Amino acid sequence: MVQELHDLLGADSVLSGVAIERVYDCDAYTVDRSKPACVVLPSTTEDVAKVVKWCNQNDVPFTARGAGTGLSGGSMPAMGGVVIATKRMTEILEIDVENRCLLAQSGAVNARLSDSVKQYGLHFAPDPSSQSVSTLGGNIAENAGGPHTLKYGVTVQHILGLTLVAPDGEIVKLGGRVAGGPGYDLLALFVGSEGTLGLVTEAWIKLTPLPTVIRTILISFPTVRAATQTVADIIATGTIPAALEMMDKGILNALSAAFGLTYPEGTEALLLIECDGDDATTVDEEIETVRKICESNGSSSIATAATDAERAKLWKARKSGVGAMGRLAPSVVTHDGVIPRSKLPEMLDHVYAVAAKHQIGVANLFHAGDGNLHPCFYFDDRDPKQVESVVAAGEAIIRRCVDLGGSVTGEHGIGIEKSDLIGLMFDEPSLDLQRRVRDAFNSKALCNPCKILPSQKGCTEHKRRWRGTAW
Amino acid sequence: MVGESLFDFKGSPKSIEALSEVVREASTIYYGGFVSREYRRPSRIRQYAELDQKLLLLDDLEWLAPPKRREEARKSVERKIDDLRTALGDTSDWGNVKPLRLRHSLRQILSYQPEDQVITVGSRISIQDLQKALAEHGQCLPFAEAGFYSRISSLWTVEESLAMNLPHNLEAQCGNWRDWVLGMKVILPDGTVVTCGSRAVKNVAGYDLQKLIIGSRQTLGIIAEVTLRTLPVAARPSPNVQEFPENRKEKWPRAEPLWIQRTLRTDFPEAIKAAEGKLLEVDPASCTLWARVDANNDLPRFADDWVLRTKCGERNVQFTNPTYLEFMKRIKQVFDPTNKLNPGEFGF
Ligand SMILES: Cc1cc2nc3c(=O)[nH]c(=O)nc-3n(C[C@H](O)[C@H](O)[C@H](O)COP(=O)(O)OP(=O)(O)OC[C@H]3O[C@@H](n4cnc5c(N)ncnc54)[C@H](O)[C@@H]3O)c2cc1C
Repeated sequence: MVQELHDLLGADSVLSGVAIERVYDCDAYTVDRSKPACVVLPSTTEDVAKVVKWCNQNDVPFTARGAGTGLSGGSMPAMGGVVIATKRMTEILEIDVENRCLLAQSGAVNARLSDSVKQYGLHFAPDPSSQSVSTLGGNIAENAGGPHTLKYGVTVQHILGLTLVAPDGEIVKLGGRVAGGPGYDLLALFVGSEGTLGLVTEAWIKLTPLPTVIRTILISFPTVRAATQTVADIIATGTIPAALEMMDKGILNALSAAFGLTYPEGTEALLLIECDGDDATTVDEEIETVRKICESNGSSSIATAATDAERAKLWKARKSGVGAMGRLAPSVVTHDGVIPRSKLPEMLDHVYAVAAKHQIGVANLFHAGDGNLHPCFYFDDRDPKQVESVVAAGEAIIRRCVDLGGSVTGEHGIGIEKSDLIGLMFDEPSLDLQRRVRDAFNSKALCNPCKILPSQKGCTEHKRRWRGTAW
Repeated sequence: MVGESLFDFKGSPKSIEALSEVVREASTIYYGGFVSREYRRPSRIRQYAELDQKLLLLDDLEWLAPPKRREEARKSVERKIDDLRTALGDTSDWGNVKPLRLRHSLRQILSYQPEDQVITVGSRISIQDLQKALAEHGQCLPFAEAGFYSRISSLWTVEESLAMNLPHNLEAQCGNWRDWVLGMKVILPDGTVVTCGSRAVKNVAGYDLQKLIIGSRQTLGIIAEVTLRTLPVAARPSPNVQEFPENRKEKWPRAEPLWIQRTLRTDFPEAIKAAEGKLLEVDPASCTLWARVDANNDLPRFADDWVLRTKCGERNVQFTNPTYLEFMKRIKQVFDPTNKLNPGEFGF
């Protein structure tokens, strides 16, 4: 296999061996692992098409991989085969300032997209917390969100056109530089399809003007309930902050340990709230409304950013949160579920109760404004018992999300992690329709197999091997 | 359940189950306020007749119209049916075609949590009624009052409007149905009821099939229930449309043959210039124009632009990208393998 792929792409574009197997056997969700036979590093759409055609001719499964920051095992090569990594597809091909759009290869890192147009007062609005490393292709595949999703929308709302290599190797273009259009919304089907309907090689993305006025505040609360109640109250007034993020004591402890950040005595939770726009009076009014709601819920201290530097400092806590947790234990599993925002207070109570019951550490930092929870469990994945507890606790939380009218995933995707839980949201006929849509494009099931849908042919057998193969 | 006579409203299913039974029984369904182009295709309709098909017309125009205009709406439905008769080439005998007409009355508010800004409704609720209910809590769907053409679809039911997903004049600022619909219950042509999406404001579980249904012109399934996210009225901006009433020719605005075009920002001034004298409305924010252009005429096209038309039969929607069309057919095949729903609407 390796030799044939060498012949196709050149020797320096194919990697294999024990080290490679270890690097590419999972993403940032480390509970399940599966080794690739080899990894290819294409540079162009045509390279990708060559590999995909070869895989089809030889019935070899293939899985796309961006930066591997996925949190549901999306880029884990579930049936082995070829991992197609977009590491070398990082070019920004065209910047069309007047039409506010940009064409980039799918391996381009999210933050670089915004950096490249900052000088024009524009940015790519989806800002997953992993944005300094995660790729455009990975963001598209997962329909990634981020702190500013609350106001600006998720990835799908910012994708205008795609170049894809379909699961049969055909090169396909969908959409262009103009949003919308008649017919079935194929772009919206491909965005968020977790790399199971083809590989994105290039995309036209929409650029959004940067707001000229930004107000950011960091607020400390004496109880978690006071903070969650504040979130529910803010949403209920109809104010739409640009971002509304929450961090609990677990995260604050990790941040103190890792970066020496300090918080006022008695802080049990923090809310980071940002309002933005182009009219200072309106933005100030919004922040004032928010501030009053915080105070009425007993907020105990407030820090306000007046400059960009101060703003960056306030965001540091939020952006470094997961990284800081690396200090607490060898492994962290970040869960992802959504609930109606009015249910936040009772849901967080449930999260703490579940963690206590299973005796695992938990910390929460999440997109509270969207009701998008991220309980982070920290544990040692070398201990199978702990792995089991983490999986069970995660399931208990996800089930409650669905019971409360929410979703099993708000941004991390189903991947491998939740393919058995998606049935909580959809009955069999609904899942069957999804399966048939998938099959209409990925009929041989070679393209990122075993993802999203439950009990797929051939996958159940493999499954036993994925779990507990930590090293 | 299903009426035998053309003008009898024997069927008025009040539940999803009842409606799905009707759908399952029919073999061809023409559906929606924006009636299928297929009406104008006698050969296809004759073909159905020969196949002994049951033809079902689901139409609510009459009910939808305000009381004053109900009679007029009834006439318009009759006219459509006359078109069918003409198409069949026989005004007395329908052959084996059994046109059945019914309306479905899934138009209630099923649940509303203002504090979460989420509402679930029966798909046939009129947007006006929905807006009224939302306004009581200071919320809305972000359609604007300004501009006739750019808010045409806000004068329909939720179902019709999202099935067409026409551009509107706050689209650049507030998005469209794709951004507002969180989930749906849909009746597939074989009567199966499926859930697409969810009730959560953020959700990436599974394939986003609800987004395929939006804009599908009722060719994939019959939408029964819709869950929407709402917007605080205070957050709704004012649109900035320009109108050109002097270019209207018809008594009823909807009777104009419409040319709706969206272009790149850089091409928009030229597109507007080319449409001079025909323009009905312009939305600079989304670079969309509405013009009066009949079937015998065209306006210039621009890079990456798209056009939607009315009253041009086959040319109402045209796909220039063959792969796009081929992928659409694959999806149609999955949802509606027997081509039961609005056949011909997209040219297949
Ligand atoms: C610390 C941290 C914070 C995070 N914060 C957020 C957040 O705020 N919001 C959020 O949404 N996510 C977040 N994530 C999850 C993750 O970063 C996102 O899902 C991201 O979009 C994945 O991008 P990636 O390049 O790492 O993709 P990978 O992990 O490599 O792949 C993810 C999926 O995309 C597919 N894929 C990758 N490239 C392509 C391609 N070119 N074509 C087709 N399919 C492809 C893969 O097959 C896989 O299924 C976070 C992760 C971490 C570790």
